Amino acid sequence: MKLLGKIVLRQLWARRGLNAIAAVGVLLGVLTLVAISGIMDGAGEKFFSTILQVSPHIVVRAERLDSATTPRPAGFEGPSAIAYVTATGGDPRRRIQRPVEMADAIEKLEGVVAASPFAVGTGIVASSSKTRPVELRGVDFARQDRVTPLHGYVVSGSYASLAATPDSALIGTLIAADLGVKVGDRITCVARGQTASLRVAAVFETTINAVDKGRLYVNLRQAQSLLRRGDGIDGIDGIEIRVGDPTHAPEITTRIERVFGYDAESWQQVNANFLGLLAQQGFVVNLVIGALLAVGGFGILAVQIMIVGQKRRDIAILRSVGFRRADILQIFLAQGVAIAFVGSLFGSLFGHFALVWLRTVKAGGGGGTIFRAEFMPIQETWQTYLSAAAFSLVVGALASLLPAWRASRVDPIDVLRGQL
Amino acid sequence: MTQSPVIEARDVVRELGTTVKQRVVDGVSLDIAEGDFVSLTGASGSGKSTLLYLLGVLDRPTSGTVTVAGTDVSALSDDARARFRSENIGYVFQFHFLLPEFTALENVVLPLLRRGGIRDSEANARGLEALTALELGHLSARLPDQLSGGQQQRVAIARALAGRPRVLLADEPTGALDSASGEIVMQIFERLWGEGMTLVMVTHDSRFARRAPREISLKDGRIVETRSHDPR
Repeated sequence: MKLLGKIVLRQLWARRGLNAIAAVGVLLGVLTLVAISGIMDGAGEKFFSTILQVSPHIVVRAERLDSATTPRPAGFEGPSAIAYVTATGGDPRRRIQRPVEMADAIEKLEGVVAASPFAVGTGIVASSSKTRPVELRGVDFARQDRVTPLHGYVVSGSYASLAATPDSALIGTLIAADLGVKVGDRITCVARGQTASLRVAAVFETTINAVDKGRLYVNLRQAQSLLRRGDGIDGIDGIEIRVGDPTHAPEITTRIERVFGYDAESWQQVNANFLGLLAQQGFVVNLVIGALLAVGGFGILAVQIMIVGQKRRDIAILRSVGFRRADILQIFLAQGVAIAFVGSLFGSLFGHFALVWLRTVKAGGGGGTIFRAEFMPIQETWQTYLSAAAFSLVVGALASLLPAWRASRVDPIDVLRGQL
Repeated sequence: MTQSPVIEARDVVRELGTTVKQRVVDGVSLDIAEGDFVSLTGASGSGKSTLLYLLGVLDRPTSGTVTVAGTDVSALSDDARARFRSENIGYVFQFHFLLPEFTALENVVLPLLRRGGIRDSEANARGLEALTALELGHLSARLPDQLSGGQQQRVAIARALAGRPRVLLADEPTGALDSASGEIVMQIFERLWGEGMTLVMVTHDSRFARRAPREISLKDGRIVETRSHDPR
């Protein structure tokens, strides 16, 4: 192997100009792959890491499923789950009976971190002459913070003070900016004909535009009053849940539906359209990158075919002094892989530099975008580099397979006769 | 000087062409003994080079058998023939066929290293010994294009000899050289024969052919004459 390696390196170096051209094809493919993956992964990571912090992983809605044959959860003690959370009276299909107890029960399920009941509706907030529509969310701030730790996104005011007074409100920075209000100011909220004066106790900024300009958090009782809901069972629209591993949310959702008999939705279902769009976009981008790398492979193929043609005499002499067909095959295969390796190495290096540069590019992020960021969010993972290297090496090997096979089939006699 | 046959060819036929078959070698039988120096002569297209490749295990006969050093090489696989060549046969061609990316010494030791069972240092020592014997020791680090035609051919001879082959086969070794360089190559061959090497040389130059003790002439793929010469 050492001898063949020496031959490979010498031959590569002897035709470094041609080989460099072939390597540049791979370089461009890998550079594109690394840069585009960094941008797409960065955007995806930024969005999901934030949305999974400020939105629940699972939402249980106050709507019973048709089948009430719900088994008792594994390890769950006491009466059956349905019996545990269901009380008599009213329309049981549209209510979560004893929501606090049900939230407590959900928290006991494996994989669940926290659960918190909520009420939600639409409303209008106003300050001076400015108004804007909002999603009015009533929560138990202490409990909700374990599900969606919004305290980490508070940019002014105090999250802890929200529970202290019943008229406290938590608003996004874009609402605050629109209304021209700050912490301590009062705003008016109107919902279902009810009006309440609220004090802005804290302002949060998630950078997700839809959240920052759309959500108004108030105490649960305040929301129930504004939305004309009763206390307790009538005033709850659902339970928000945080799980340990968000990728397992669909399984836990199914389990919750089976155990409690209420309709539940995982964050993947809620964001299905967006996830589908991302997957589609990823597929198209991978297709383009694959085509780019394939073009790089054709570069290797063309150069290798040319070199094999030029090297027929050398191949003949190697064969005549004892080199086997397999040796010749290995020499030319290794050359193709080496070209791809060098292209991949420099492509990764330049790709890394491209990402370093892209991190300094102002992101813009106006109202038309999904999220705001001062700089373009970039995610650089070793998996990207590994897959780029693996893919380009496979392309290099495949591209040099034909020329290497042709080289190994060179019959020294044909070449020697041709010389005479 | 002659001993037991190291090469035996029996009724060897070699046909070329796919649609129209042409017999390039037509029923040749010959023995070459250990320590022989044989020249193969004939006009262009007489089949002398093809016969040399058959005797040197580079080509396979269409029919007949070739036995080298007691092994019927006609039946060997491609890889076995490659190994057999590297262990038993040294080749010198009309053109030096040196690998341009490797120095003179590296060209000489490549077949040795491919054969295996030898350390790099030992192979280098043997290569240098072969180059020195051909008065090229001081040029061992040069690339082929930094050597003259005669020097390149001598490096090719050193490459053929470094593996200490049983037989040295030369195909028009002086064909691409000027007369002075050709003479040097012939003197090397005579010296090697004097040291006991078995040599088979294809040449169309009658002056050089006569310097081998046995000259076999071919015409249309057949042996037409075998002559003995008194070597100088």
